[in-house]
Amino acid sequence: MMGFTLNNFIESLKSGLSYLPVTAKLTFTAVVFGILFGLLIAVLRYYKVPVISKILTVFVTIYQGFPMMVALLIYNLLFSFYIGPIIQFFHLGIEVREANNIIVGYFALSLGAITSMSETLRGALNSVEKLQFEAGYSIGLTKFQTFTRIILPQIIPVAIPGLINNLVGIIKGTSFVMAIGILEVTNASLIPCFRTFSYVEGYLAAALIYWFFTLLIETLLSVVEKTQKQY
Amino acid sequence: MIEIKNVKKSFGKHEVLKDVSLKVDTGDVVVILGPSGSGKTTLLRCINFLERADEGTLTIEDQTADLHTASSKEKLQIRKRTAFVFQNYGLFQNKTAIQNITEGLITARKIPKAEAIAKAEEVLDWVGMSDKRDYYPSKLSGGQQQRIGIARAVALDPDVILFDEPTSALDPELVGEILGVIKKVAKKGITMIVVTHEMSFAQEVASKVVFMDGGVVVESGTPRDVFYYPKEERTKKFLERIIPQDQYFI
Repeated sequence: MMGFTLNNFIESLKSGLSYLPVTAKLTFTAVVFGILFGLLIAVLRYYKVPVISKILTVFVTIYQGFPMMVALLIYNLLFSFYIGPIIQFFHLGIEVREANNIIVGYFALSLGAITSMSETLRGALNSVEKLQFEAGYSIGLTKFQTFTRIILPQIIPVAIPGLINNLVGIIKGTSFVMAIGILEVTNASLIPCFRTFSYVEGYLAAALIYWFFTLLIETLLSVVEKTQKQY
Repeated sequence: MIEIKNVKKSFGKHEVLKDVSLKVDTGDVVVILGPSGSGKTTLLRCINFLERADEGTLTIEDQTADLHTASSKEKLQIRKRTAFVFQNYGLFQNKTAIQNITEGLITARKIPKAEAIAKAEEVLDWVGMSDKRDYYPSKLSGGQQQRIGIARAVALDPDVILFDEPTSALDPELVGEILGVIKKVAKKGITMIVVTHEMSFAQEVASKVVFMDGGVVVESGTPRDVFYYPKEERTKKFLERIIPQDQYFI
């Protein structure tokens, strides 16, 4: 019979919360890379840049079907194989056991964010009428000016709901990195459980933290979203 | 003076323009008529490189460009000498009425902001849209949007304004007022090439009428020549279908 002990729950909550910055950093990094490179991929594919757009299409399609957990485990394996030679090659002057595999977490989450956000942004880009581009060209704007001054401002309000959705997915996806031993909210919430066996409290504490974190970010961004709806 | 020579354009296997040439003198209002699919719009779009022609040259005043091989610099120069009025208005959705007009002046032509705004306000007043200065296009009716579209073209002070069926997307009751605005543009002495199906407008305003069909210019001349004394059988057939018999000879 599973019981519920408030003290254990609170202990798990405290432990989990103290690692919220790690989860936040993982999320933030992935989102920044996701938006920057996601936009780049979306634009290169939208303008059908020869060769590159084809390669990106294949890459995004394949990578979208690649589970985050499997990706993390593979990258972590590669990391543990090659970190020694890499340290030697670049004369980084650190021991192999000091090398922190959180970089694997950053990498896997960012790549996931880039592919999913590129699809959101490409969808938003497709929603802009061709006529908007043509109107820009017709008044003598360059391709770049047309994109930055006419098209980009129009795709932002369209993309925001989808990007928020991607962001929420990334927040929840950060919990996967516990699989490679990184201490973040989920992993940290379970620390007290190793001693008390209060796993129910630990999991619930982790769930509560994610729920609050997601709600907080969604609320903040809905304010941003409102400022965008001017036309 | 604008001269288009030997323009050819195909979409896949479909030859839309088969060797079209056209000369437009400064101040001329050229109206291009013809059934759908005759290549009128494509011709217009080739002139300012919205469509890349397969062959042909374009001369605007002192500048000649190859419509097929023009560099992006040449393309930009030609675009700055032309303006386009779209069938579906093509106003920038993220910009207000006045910003739609100033954008081409400030960003493309590097005109100082204050000067550009003054110019835009003047043109807005001219098309009777001063009170809608700070409205976004989504808050304007089709007729109002097309007025802004025309104002945007006029403000750029181009060598030629290209009108691509400017009234086709409008409610019938709004067509007249937009044609009125276009007439005002013509009276200013601005060179214009207009693709339209409005016959009475063509008769009244055009200095030259061009009838196109199947990717070639079938016949061209003064409105009087083309409407009342058409030489080609194809032109006669087209006019018979469009103009009711009793209005044929006025």
